[in-house]
Amino acid sequence: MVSEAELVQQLSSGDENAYRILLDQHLASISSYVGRMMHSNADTQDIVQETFLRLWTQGARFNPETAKLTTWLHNIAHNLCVDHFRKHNRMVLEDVNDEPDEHSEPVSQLQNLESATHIGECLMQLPERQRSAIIMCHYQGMSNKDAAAILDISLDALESLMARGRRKLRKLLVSNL
Amino acid sequence: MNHERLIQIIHAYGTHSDRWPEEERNAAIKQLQTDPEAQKLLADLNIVDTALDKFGVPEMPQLSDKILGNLPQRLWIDRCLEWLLPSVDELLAYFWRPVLAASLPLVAGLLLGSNLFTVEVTESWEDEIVLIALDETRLGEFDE
Repeated sequence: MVSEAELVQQLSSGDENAYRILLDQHLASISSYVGRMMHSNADTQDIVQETFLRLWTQGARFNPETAKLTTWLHNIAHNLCVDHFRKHNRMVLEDVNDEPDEHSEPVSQLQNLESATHIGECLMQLPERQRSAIIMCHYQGMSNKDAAAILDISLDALESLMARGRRKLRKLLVSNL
Repeated sequence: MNHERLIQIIHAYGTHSDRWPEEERNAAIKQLQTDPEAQKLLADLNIVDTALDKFGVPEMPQLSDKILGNLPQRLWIDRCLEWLLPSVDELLAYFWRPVLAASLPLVAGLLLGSNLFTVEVTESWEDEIVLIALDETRLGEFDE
């Protein structure tokens, strides 16, 4: 069994088979992350393609002693998403009004929530860092340390980001019903 | 683990205990069993996690082929650059790259120098014999 570090070393010297193995191992996870970040198929495909192109061209820069390959790839994908939002002026600013709404609808109404599209739209309304933190910890199975490293923040800041994100998400889900 | 920390964990990581920080998970689950306020919060917020669980992303079956089809071929110049700029950590690369850049004029100078100055080669044996004879004549002058 060839280790991930060895595969990366092989692909750095142009081994396409090693690249295929790594692509198979990580494509689903990176597509899932980018798909939830972008909520658009075309943008998702572009960013996922670019992420794996960088694995091919810059794989030699990956250091297995400092990070896992999945963290490295998520980091690239995250930065590409942020660049995309900046280019297209879709960066959602940190919302000052993050506090829970006292007059929000009863929680029971949320139980009728069925549409994944609706949930996706609510997620898209979160500030990009809050959304990214929630996606990494909820869907990607990433440890809090890895998520904090990708976002370049402390663990306390990550938890604060996620708590605010979840509070706002709940508010959005209720108000959009 | 105490009540406040458990509340923080639920607010940040949600209501699924398998997503709580690994090193605190067991203690948090134990705390939850004796913490009615945390249990109520868990029930209230569970709805957000349920909503999140419903949000899937469509599969993209052709994407793998598309990525492989668009792979650029590696040129020899790319490999040279990779060799010159090795995968060292950022700090080393930070110093290595200026050193490399600073050495470029030296390399250029060496190349230029080797092309400008050519060694004069004596073309015929006769000329060489004359030159040796002149040298010996001079040596004789010194002896006298």
